[in-house]
Amino acid sequence: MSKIVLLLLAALTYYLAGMYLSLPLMILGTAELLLLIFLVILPRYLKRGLSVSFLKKSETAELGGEMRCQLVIHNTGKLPVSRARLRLKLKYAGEKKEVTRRLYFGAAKGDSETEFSFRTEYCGLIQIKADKLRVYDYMSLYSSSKPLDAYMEAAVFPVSSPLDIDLPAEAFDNTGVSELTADKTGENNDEIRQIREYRTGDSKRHIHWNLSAKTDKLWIKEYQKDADLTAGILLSCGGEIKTQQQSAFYSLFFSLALGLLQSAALVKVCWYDGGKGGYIIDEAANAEQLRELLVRLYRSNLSKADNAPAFEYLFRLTTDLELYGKEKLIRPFTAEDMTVENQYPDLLRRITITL
Amino acid sequence: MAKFRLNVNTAQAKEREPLPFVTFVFLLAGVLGMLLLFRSPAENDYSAAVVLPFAVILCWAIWFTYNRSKTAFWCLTAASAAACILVPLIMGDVFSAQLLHVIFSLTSDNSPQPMELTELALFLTVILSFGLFVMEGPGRSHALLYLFTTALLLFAPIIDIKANIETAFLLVIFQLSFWTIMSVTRENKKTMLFTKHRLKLAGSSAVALCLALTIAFLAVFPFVAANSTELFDSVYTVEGFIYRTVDNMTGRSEKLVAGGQINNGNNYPTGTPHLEVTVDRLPTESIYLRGFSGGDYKNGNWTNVSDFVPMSVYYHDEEIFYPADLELMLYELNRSEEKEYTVNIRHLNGDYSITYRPYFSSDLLSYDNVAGYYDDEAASIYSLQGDYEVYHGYAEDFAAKDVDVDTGYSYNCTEQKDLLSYNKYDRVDITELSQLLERRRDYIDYAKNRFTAYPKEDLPRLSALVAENPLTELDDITAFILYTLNSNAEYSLTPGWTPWGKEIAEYFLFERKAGYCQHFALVATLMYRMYGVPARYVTGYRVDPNDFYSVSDNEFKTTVTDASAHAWVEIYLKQYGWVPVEVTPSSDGTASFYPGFNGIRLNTLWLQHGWTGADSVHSAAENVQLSEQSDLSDMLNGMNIDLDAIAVPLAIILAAAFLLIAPLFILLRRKRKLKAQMTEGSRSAFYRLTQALEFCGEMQDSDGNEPDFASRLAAAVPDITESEAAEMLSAVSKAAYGNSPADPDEEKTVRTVADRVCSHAYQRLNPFKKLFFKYIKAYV
Repeated sequence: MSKIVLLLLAALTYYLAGMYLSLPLMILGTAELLLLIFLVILPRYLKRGLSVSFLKKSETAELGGEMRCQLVIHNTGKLPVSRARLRLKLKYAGEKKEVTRRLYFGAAKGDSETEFSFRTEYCGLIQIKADKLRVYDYMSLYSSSKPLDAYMEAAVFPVSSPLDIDLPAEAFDNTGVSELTADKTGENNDEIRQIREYRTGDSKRHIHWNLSAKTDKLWIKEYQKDADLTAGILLSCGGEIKTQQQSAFYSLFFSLALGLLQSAALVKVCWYDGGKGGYIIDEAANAEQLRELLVRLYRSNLSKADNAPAFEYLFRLTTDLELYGKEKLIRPFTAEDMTVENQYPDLLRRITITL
Repeated sequence: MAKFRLNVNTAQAKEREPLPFVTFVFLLAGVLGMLLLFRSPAENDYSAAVVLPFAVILCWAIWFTYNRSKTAFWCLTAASAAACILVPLIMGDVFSAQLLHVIFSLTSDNSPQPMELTELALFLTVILSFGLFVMEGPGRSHALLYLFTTALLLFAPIIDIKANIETAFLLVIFQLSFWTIMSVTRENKKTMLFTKHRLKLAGSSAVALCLALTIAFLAVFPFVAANSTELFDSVYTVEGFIYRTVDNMTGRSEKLVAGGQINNGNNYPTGTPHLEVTVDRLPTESIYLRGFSGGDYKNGNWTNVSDFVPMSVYYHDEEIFYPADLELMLYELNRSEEKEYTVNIRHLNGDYSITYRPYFSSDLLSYDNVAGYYDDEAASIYSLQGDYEVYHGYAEDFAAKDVDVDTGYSYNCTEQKDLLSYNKYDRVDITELSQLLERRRDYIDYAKNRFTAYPKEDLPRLSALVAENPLTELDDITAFILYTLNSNAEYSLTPGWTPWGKEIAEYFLFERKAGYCQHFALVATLMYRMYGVPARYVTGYRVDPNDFYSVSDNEFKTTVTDASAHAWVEIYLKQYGWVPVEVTPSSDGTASFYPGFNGIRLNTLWLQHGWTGADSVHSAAENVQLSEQSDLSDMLNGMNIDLDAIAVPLAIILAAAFLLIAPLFILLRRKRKLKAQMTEGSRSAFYRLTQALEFCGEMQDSDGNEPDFASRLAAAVPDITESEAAEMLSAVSKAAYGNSPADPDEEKTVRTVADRVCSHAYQRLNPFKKLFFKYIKAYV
């Protein structure tokens, strides 16, 4: 619209110059028309020196938190860029459809940094692609675009909310927990490493009731984990699932694994990777390793398996959010329950899983 | 599917960045541009040594104080506003005189004497400096200013203010620089990534654009100067193409030419055939087909005068008298029996509401029959043709009603060169002759009175020119008029437009010095009248004898197009009646002058009087201007009456302008505020909510911090539930005290609640407060 108005005004100036024989107006009208030509060319020149990249190729954030993405704008041209538009395409790994967002910026000569953020809604791996740059002239009338190839990944982890898992000794023979004995479940006082104050998320089973009663404060018994204690989880996929369901699945898995890591030294996880065409067995010994495992899980193509795995497991979690213990359905969950909006950590905190 | 609502707000984005130095330069360019434009008319003068440095200092002070200290800026603004009010009050006489001078120079056709307007220019500087700064800065109304400055530049030549190149350059620098700054800084806050030194970037971009503009000006200047004629012609080519296309499409090109409106633009004939003229003998002179004769002249328009209208007033015995009768009788006395030929005219569009009549002609029908008689009751002209009574209509409709569309109408004519050089009285019987002589005397008296009138007050320079060159002989007068026109104006179908309010005759002769037949004929007619020679402005067609082609031995035809439409002068000669005088220099001279006057006579007279230059016109024009100026000066000095006369219209104009502009501003402001409210943050929306409550008198004792605010709000506003109010308060609290960036959903919740409160508040207001709430506060 603006360019049409400006063009019409330049033409009107030229016309009136002719009608009233005004040389200054004729110069003005001609100069304006020349300037419009310059403005058409300008974006084509400006875009040559302009590029945008992500400062970090990977970022992490907790579900429901802010994901910050830092951008570096490079302007190697001799002129400043008053206005440019960056096209971003965002999607969760595994999703087909991308969400397009456009952001504007200006760029002085040299490098400058900026950032944008967004609130994470689901767990998973977000793939962010800056694929197009549109550069405008100084009056924002004309523009020219160029392709970009900037890419970053943003991993969204579930909220750290371990499940309270009660593992009786008789339940574990040859069911995916190696050398797990009853006294390792916390009944043996000799295995207590320390006693500390209760923190949100701690299992109620480990509350030191006697001491708590004496001091009028909740105390927790921390046990020494056995170096060889390993718990197995099989992740099974029932078919293609939506992002929200997948997010709930990851959250549930993360809580389950964290819950197991409170008792076991190692959690082994097995899933079928459709991309590779075979079962993947991964392991994590602590929350940090578990997050790394989660990223590998995000990247893999979790698919429905044709055959059974050669893997001993105690728990099986399906993408339909059904949790099995020793192949007995413990509890089904729903994707709606497992959202940050519905305070899913509180829900999990209220659940004790007993085999 | 994930929504990915991107957030670009960072803590740094809220930091205030100073205006770069270049904004001062660009602001100054705008102020200086307008001040120079104000000074463009020669009659507006001011001391540039005082005004221009003052503009520089003031613009700098505005920029400096705005950047350094808001308090200092507002102090400066207040002081300037006070000065703008007090100084005109104290120096009322000076300001009134200067203001009146400007108004007079804008509204008058004639330029007044130059006047020193320094005080007014200083006042204007203050208004412009603050006005432009506030509108471009906090007001963010660049589009309005852009249109305003463009209108100033484009409107200037229309009212004959000749803006110079510096003015145009400065104003365009101002327009484009702030356009760039606005386009950088006025981005949607939701999608604009924050980068440091945003205003500095905007400034440097504006500088780059202005450099490009400067280069464009420098590149274009010599090119335009060297090729101005071709460039102006290119405009006319395009305009001509559009005019012709529109005329052809609308059928206007087929419309016959006969009117007294002087065209103040260009002339673009389409070549559309209008008439078919058939003669039985090949003519040697141009045939002037008269369709319109001008009676009274005012502001570029002639009133029609018809010779078919009966004139009982001027005839002493109250008999009906048609001027056309007299002409026919005079023709009868002068016609050449041997060399008479027939002219047939056919209108190709079939419209005979206008008829054309060649000079020195009679109708083929007998005089008695055609002239007919006048029926007072019917106010119409009838004639007897054989056994039938033919209705001729009234006045110029005379011939229209009884013309056969297929054959047209005919006249018997004699070429001017073949007319008898004396009146052959024996062709008329003695009774008729006596009547004829009496009528002629009466008509000459009438013509000398009626067709020598002109609006003297509108034509001071032309009147002065005639007064400077007193002449009495018709040939001398004709020679002087032709000399004046030929030596001071050139023929052009594209002279451009006449500035608004300018008298077209004087503008053509003294300023533009180019035009076509209408302009030449207009000036010539007026000059004849000024010399006391009865003259009329005529329009119709001029048919060139060379255009005829032979159909048979005694039939020659030509098709007359709109390109042959023409304007000329006719003067009244005792022996012949009305005779045409060709004054347009483009004509080839085949039938230029009245009987007894020719090219040889013209050249002789020119040599005899020494009319070989164009100086006389200039001196006359200059003298007139000076005398007008002194008149104006006297008027302004003695201002008592004129102040009263102008004050009321001035007040009305200002009030009308205010009434027109103020609602526009209010509507635009409201639109902008409502748009901003759609994306405003939680705190801003909450502030709006509390203001709305306060304005409508609800929850007056609350400031929004009470623990029971949510429940009270829900109770006061039926559209809001307590949980919504609580959610809104939580979001506001988070926005105010939280560390994380604002959540778009929460912001939306607050906005929604605020909107509902505003709507509720609006319903509770009285009509006056509703207007204020809606248009001034712009809350709904």
